[in-house]
Amino acid sequence: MKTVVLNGSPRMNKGNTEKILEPFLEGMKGHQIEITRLYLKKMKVESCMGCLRCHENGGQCVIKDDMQILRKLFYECDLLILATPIYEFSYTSYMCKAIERLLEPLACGEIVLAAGNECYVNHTFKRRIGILLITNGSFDGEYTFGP
Amino acid sequence: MNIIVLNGHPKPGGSPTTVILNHLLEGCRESGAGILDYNLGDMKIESCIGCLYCWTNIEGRCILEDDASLLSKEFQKSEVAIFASPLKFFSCSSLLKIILERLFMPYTSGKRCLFVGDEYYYVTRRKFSGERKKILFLLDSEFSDTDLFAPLIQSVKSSFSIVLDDDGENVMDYMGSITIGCSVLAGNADIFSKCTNLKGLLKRAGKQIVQNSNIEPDLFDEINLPLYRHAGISREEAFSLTNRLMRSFSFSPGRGEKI
Repeated sequence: MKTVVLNGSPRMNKGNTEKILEPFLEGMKGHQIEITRLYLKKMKVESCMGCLRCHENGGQCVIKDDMQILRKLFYECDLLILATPIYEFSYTSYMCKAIERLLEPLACGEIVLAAGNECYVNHTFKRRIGILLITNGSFDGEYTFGP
Repeated sequence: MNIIVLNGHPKPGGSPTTVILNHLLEGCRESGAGILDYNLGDMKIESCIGCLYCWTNIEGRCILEDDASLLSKEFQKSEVAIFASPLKFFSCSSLLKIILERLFMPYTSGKRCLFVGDEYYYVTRRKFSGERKKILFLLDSEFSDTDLFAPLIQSVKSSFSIVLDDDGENVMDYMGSITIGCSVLAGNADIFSKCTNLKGLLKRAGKQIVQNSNIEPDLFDEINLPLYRHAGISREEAFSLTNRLMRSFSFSPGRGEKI
């Protein structure tokens, strides 16, 4: 099983996120799992610039940066682990940038009404990827993680 | 009254967010407010590096020197702050997320944490003079369901409400959010010209911000409808139009575009 781990903490391997992530990945080892670990701070990822070209050309992003590597890994993986601390009651901006860039080309289909809800339909993507979120915050309240 | 506006749309020119924002600002201008309008896409702002210098430093200052230092200064001077952004995957755009972190991390730089019952607060190091700062969010989404804004609104509301000054008062006051669904339609001049009602409401809201530094709850309810209801067309029609518009958008090249 191919697993990609994205660590969105700006403190990278010194941060608390890593401390939580480490024993978790330790437990995964030895189960025929191929783990690729990436620190988003080290990668050069631009913000999505909203040109909507990915909507025109079938999900190709025009910005050429480290996101190309990340996207390739994402399309091939079976499990995606997002690890991020809570900054201002949300994920960090590194994670925000990566999620925007990953998902915008996936949402390039058309909007349809399915069972009363509005959904994007993507006609090219044929795989299913498991996504796991690991977070940590400085407060103890459960509701910090709610939003 | 000084109003600072931070527009988090990556392509501000002609975008739905800007179109809606401009009508609100027109009302503010008519009532004589001084407006500083910043497009975050044009500015160079680094992400917060989590060094926590602002937590240990005596003034709660950020160690990074870039355009955010300027924004931080202007933010402190102004009485009302308006943050505008499209909804991207149930969060704000990353441009706005970056500046929210940079602006508010130093504010949460607590001298100490304060626990009151189950709730917790930060007592800020920053000095505040005069009245509480009012915060308004202007959000728009291509979907019609206004519930989709709830997670983001919940998170921004929480981040303002936990910051207290020495007297235990909130230093920032969350005014509310203008949330507009099906906003892609605002990119079409024909459809948006039908929304004369909405334009009037936005202008009224702008005037209320300057006069009462607040917007009436009823006015929020009137504004916060999907755009197709303002324009008087059906939901199905709105979505077929949205799909067409998304294909035909030709934004002018902007920030660092290489094709």
